[in-house]
Formats: sequence, structure tokens, C-alpha cells
Amino acid sequence: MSQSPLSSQLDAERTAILEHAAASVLAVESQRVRQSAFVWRGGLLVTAAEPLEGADTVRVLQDGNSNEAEVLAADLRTDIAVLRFPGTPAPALAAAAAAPRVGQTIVALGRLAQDLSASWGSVQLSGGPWSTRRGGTLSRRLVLELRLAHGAEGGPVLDLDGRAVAMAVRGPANQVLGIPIDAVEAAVSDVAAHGHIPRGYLGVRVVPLALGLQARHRLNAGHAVLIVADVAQASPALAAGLDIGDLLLAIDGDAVQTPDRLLGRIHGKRPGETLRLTRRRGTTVDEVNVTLGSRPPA
Amino acid sequence: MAAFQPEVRAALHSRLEAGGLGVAFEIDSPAGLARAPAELTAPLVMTGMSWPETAPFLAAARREQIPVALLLEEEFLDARHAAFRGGAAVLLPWAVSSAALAHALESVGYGLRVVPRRPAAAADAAAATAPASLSLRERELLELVAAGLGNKAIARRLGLSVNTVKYHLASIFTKLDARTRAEAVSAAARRGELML
Repeated sequence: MSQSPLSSQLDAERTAILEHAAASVLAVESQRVRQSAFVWRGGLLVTAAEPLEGADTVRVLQDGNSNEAEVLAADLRTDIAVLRFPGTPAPALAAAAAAPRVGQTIVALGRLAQDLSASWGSVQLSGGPWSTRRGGTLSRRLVLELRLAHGAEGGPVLDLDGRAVAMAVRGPANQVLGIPIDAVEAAVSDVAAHGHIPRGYLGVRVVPLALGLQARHRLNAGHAVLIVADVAQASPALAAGLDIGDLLLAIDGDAVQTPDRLLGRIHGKRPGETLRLTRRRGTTVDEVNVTLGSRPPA
Repeated sequence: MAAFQPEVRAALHSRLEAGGLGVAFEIDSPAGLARAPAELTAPLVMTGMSWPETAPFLAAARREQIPVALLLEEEFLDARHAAFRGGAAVLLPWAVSSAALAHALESVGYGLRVVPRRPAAAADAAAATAPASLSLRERELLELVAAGLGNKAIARRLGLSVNTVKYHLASIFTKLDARTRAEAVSAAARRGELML
């Protein structure tokens, strides 16, 4: 059966996009999963952070060779991991100039061992800023209408110009989500500049207040309360006037649950951003605004 | 100065004076603090009480903005103790020398807080029951993990080999019952072993 000129032209254009991008898409194997990565700039690879499950190194397959790649940063807030590219230099992908539009045609690329996969589809939702479950903030919430091929998580999502608009990751309920490419660019810039992705730092050690004490002082009924056990020297906490024995009742208006939740809130912000703590000292409750810093070098 | 029993107050009184310290007033209940002279800035020294009995004194003293020095049984002398976390300025053993007590009370005037190094016996007992705590080096390393640094960057920062870093990390993971870096960092935060 012969193809119409229009469809064969479309096919040729689609094939050209894949051929152009193919060398930039690599297969990644960690202990538990196979996923994909793509070359961004400066010899750095980008992939999805969550499936790595905290691995320090992964194997990157390229042209039948397997090389160990160091995980330079794995940011669970945004699900972006940055790897040092170990193999033969490959061309970097370029970012699309504009944010993806609803209904726009896209292709998610992946690589399983040596084989390239391409899943064509469209942008199902391109919403406003998105606060992720893990405390990250992304410029857009992108839901993609396509079936992601096996091993394609962490691969790039391209527009019809062959430019990257997002990284594909699996979301809840078999959704395919796009991590916007500006977040990828920001993460790679951070790693290039600092060697890691900067996280906020407050400078306190906290422990949950014993339940008996909490009941006696009728504090935050039903919620945990954290008590400041230590304040670091020359820290943002010290500058904001936090002291040992202060009780922390809420962070940015939300009840404090556990020390690791507090850590999540702190790490969810960058140095220079502000955290609002509801603090009780003696019988006085007040709001303390702290400008987060970065963790001092050991 | 505060203590429930008159004989304890008498003993404390003579020890304070032996250390060259005057006693402005004595009380046996938190309500007594309201009678404290308004210009009083010296610490309230308390003893002969258990922690729950001490708590209301501590709260009352805090309202009056009077620092508190507690003389306690050796086993409670720990910066993690609720009394210290609750704002007591000084924790010292009941048997502390008059001179050491005088020094501690003077330090409070400079805005310092005083807690003794843990007695060895108490530390051993605590170590036997508590989950293994991190060594200084492990804590230092975990701070860098928390900052988001990779093993190579940590190795460079601490002047260690990557293998040594991995060795320490494995020990940290075991102690904190963690499988990943993120789990280790959260676990240390939960246990109050990490600066946040």
C-alpha cells in the first residue's frame, strides 16, 4: 500500500527528529531499575531521581559499552538527578524556547540497552506552578498523553522542532508527567556552579517534645511540637533569635509534625528564601521569619 | 534560692555562702517567685526536687525572666534532659563544689548556659540502652550528605578517600537503619542528631 505524500512527509519529519536526538539519549542501569537519561550541557546527563533510590553511581550504556557514572545530585523534590557523563562525548539537547501548550504534539524518547524507543503523544495538561509531593516547586504541572515505553522514564520529551520541553517521569495512577525543562536547566546550572543543588539551612537541632509535657502545657492538641535542642553558631536560626528551649509550633502556617518534616521544608527552599516559624517561648507565641542560609562547610 | 525542705534550703544556703555568694531570698513554691525583688537578676538556684516538681518553678522563673540553676542527681546531668531543654540555665550535680557553683552562676550573668560533661558511668549506661549514636566523624559526614554532596565531593571536603567515605556511610546506614542517603538524613533528623 502506497502512502499519501502528506503522511510520508510527516513520517520523514518525525524520523528526522529522532535521528537528530538519538545520540543524546542513553540507557541507565542502577541496581533496581532501567531508565533513560539525556545529555544536557557541560558533559552532564540528566535522569529521573526517584527510581535511583539514593544510588551513588549508576551504569550508563553507550554504543554497547557500560561505564560507571557518578550521581552528582539527586533532587527528590523535583525528581531531577544529574550524572557526570562517563563515555564518549555526545551532543547535548537544546531547550524549547516556549512552555508546552495543551494539545501540542510531543515525543518521549527512551533507550533500553541499545534500542531507542519513541512514544508519540500530546500535552494533556499544562497548568500553573506545581508544588510537588516532596516539597519542590516547578514552573508548570505537565501531564502527558502518551504511553511511556519500558525503561523510558528519565528520558527527554521533545517538541516537533526536536527541542526538549520536559523530562518524562511516571506519576501516580499510571500518569506520565513532564518535569519542565527550565527545572532541568536550573538543576544542571546549580551542579555546574556548586557541584550539587543548594538546599536551605536553618541551623537547629530539634527533638519532639515528650507527650506528657505537651499535655501538661496544653500545646498544639493533636499535633507534635518540636523543641529546639541546639542552635548552631553563626547560623540563620541564631540571627533570627531562636534559642534552646524554644518550642516550634508551625512552619509557614502548617503544624509541625516531625523533625524530618521540618527538614523537608528547609530543604525544599533555597538559601536566601524565608521560612516563617511559629514559636512559643514561655507563655508568648510569636512568628519568627528566618532567611535560610546554606549549610556551612564541615 | 528554692527547695522544698527547710533542711535542704539550710544546706544550700551555707554552700552558696561558702562560695562567696549571697542569698537574696528563699522560696518553697513557684508562687514565692512573685515575691522576688523586681531588680533581681541573679539566677534562682533550686535543688532537692525531681524534674516534674521543678517544671512549674522553671515556668514561673521564665515568666519573671529569672535564669534557673538546677542541682540534680548525676543521672539527670545531660543537655538532653527536659530541664535543660526546658530552659534551665545551669545543670550541676548536687555535690558540686561551692567554687564551681559560683563560677557557673557567674557565667549565667554573661548569658552562658552550663552543663557538665557527662559522667562516664552515666554515659556508659546510656550507651548500653540507647541506639548506637553517630561518631563525630560520622556526624560531620552526614552533614555533608544532608547538604546534597556526593561521595567524591565529601571525600575532597574532608580529605578522605572515596572508599573511606563509603565505609563511614555504611556504618551510618547500619546505625540509623537506613538504606539510602535520604533515609539516613531523615533518621538522623528524627533522632535530633542533625543540624537542620
